[in-house]
Amino acid sequence: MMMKKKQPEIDHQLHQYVSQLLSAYLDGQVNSRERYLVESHLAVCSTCRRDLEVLRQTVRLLHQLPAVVPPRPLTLRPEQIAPASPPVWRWLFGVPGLATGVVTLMCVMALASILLYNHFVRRGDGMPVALAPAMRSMAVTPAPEVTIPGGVTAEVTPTPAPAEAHDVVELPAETAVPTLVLPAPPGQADVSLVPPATPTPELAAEGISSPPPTLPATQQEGFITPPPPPQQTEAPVEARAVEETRAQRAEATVPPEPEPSPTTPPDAVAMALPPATETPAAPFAAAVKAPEGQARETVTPATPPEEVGALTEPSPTALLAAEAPAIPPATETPAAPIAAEAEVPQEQPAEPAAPTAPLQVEETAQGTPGVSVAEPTATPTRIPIPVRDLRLTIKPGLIHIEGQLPLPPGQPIMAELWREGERLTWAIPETQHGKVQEEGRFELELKAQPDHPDADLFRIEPARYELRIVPLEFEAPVEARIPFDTFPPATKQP
Amino acid sequence: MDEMEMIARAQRGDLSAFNRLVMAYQNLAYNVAYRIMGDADAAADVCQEAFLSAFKHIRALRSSSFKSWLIRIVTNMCYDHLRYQRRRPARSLEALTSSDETGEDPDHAAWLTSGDASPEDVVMSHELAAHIQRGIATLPADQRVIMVLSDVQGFSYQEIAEITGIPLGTVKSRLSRARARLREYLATRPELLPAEYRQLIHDDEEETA
Repeated sequence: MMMKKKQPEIDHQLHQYVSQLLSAYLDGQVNSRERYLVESHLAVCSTCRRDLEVLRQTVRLLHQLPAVVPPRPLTLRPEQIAPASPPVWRWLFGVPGLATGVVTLMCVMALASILLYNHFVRRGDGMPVALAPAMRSMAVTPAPEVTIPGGVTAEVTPTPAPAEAHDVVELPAETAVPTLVLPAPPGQADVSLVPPATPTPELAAEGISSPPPTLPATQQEGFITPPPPPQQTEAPVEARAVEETRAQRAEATVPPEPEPSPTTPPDAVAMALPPATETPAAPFAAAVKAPEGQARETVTPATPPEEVGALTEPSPTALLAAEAPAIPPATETPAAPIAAEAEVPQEQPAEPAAPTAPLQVEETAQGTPGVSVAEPTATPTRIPIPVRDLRLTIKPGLIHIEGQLPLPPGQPIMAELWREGERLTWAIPETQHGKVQEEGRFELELKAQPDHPDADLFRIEPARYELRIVPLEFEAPVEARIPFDTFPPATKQP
Repeated sequence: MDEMEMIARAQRGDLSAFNRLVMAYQNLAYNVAYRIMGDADAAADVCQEAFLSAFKHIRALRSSSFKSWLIRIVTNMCYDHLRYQRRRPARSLEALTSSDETGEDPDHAAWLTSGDASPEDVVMSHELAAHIQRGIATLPADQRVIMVLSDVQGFSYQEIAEITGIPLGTVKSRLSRARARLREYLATRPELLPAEYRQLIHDDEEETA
């Protein structure tokens, strides 16, 4: 076709030459001499004119190919790069941070022991720096699935409140569960269902039976404004857990350069943290969810035990918990209070109560151990609806949520991110929108606005958050609320 | 994001800084890889490896642009994977891309089409995009890489020369051949093409005949 010339007088060689130049000519990538040759030839050769046009259309089509989206975030997790980083490097970066952050003798002692410990652990398996107790326990634990909570990639899957046994929350084995404090289960509706005062298992059970999953009262109080005294004891526990995990997390995530945090470098905190009373693994357990045994017993009413078990199983918690007792270094014990101070001042009030925690822990553990369920901030205007099969994943700059809503397929929905009762402009607006699929399924992936300072919710001050899923142009003012917070999870007592 | 700052921090081993770079470039990297590989999972694997490699070697990055450097790593990884695939015919690229039935095609994923696209756009992105993607897959790897960089991603010849380490003249000639070849392929399913395009082909055939 290109060979074919309409005008016999056209130089065949020139035609060949020009046809090879058309592509570059189209892109303006020819010199002036070539341009002249091309243009003068185009003036007389209809074949080349058409070829040029086809070329232009072809390129246009290519350029119009839709952009595709990576099926998963491609950010690197600390454990992916661990083998590459020489231990020396870690040492260098850990020490200065400690120096600045640790003021007390306790801390220094703890540091020494931890450093030693870590030294061996690190050498042993090449794990990223993990100073916090839980981390250590992980290192020791045979559970291979457990990955260190990289702050960076920390993936948190919401722990279902025990009451919500039927709500399937998956705990991906690879997720860094500990970092995430679990979201409250499906909507507030449930909350209201539950008798406010008593957190007893039976209540939880009741809650369960009702379609919307209910959180044991205890849980909610633990984190939020806890009204009834019986639960108060828990608050301390949770608070501590929070600090711990936070510290761990910080540990895991801290970049070589000391974090800007003026008071205490994360690593320092981590060192100090290990709470005396709690087993190192506790935070994890908390984060993950109710230990299988308890969860089944207490929560089961609504859900067959197996289901709960299944949910919980993949999580490393059980293993961790089992191993934990062996690990706790004695030295760390005294450090807990200090850490608490340094890291999360606001939680301090809880500290004093800590001693009592053990007593209450059982209850908590049954309830929603890891999930510190914050009582959603009340917005009277919208009626809460439940979310089922909730799965929430939080990574730096990204919140992935999926589940099932009692909404018709095709219903447009929008997610709002709230922090401490204030709506945030965090996500790129388009990423907040979606549509309900078959059977009420929905999936949204909120992406933080580029360069948003709060992109990584775990790199900033811990806070209570809420995702609110609002159906747009819906006949009734409803919303689903998924509370979660970035405080470290409550711990389960050994 | 201050890219230079992030690069400097990443060079000192700061993973979170590096991940900021990843977030800034992952879509580009993935799109390049996807168009070259023609397979979503393979493309994600390639990108993950590329980012890992980039993190490990970022200290070696001196003056050149991070973007070009990164895409160079991505395309090199693509070459490696394509070679690997060729040795395993069962999972050849052709097999992955020549059938509509094979797995997930991101071009077909409804959620990828933005809400404000017109129906025509959507139709184009489904059928035609798959056709074009298959056409790209028929090209030899060296032509494919250049076509993806140039015509899909809009890199300049100069940038492509920098990324691929190929002389400018070679970039031009390979692209020219790639376009001619793709054009032939697209013409095999004229019904999928826009009317304007179809008409051109039609005229051409008439004339040739």
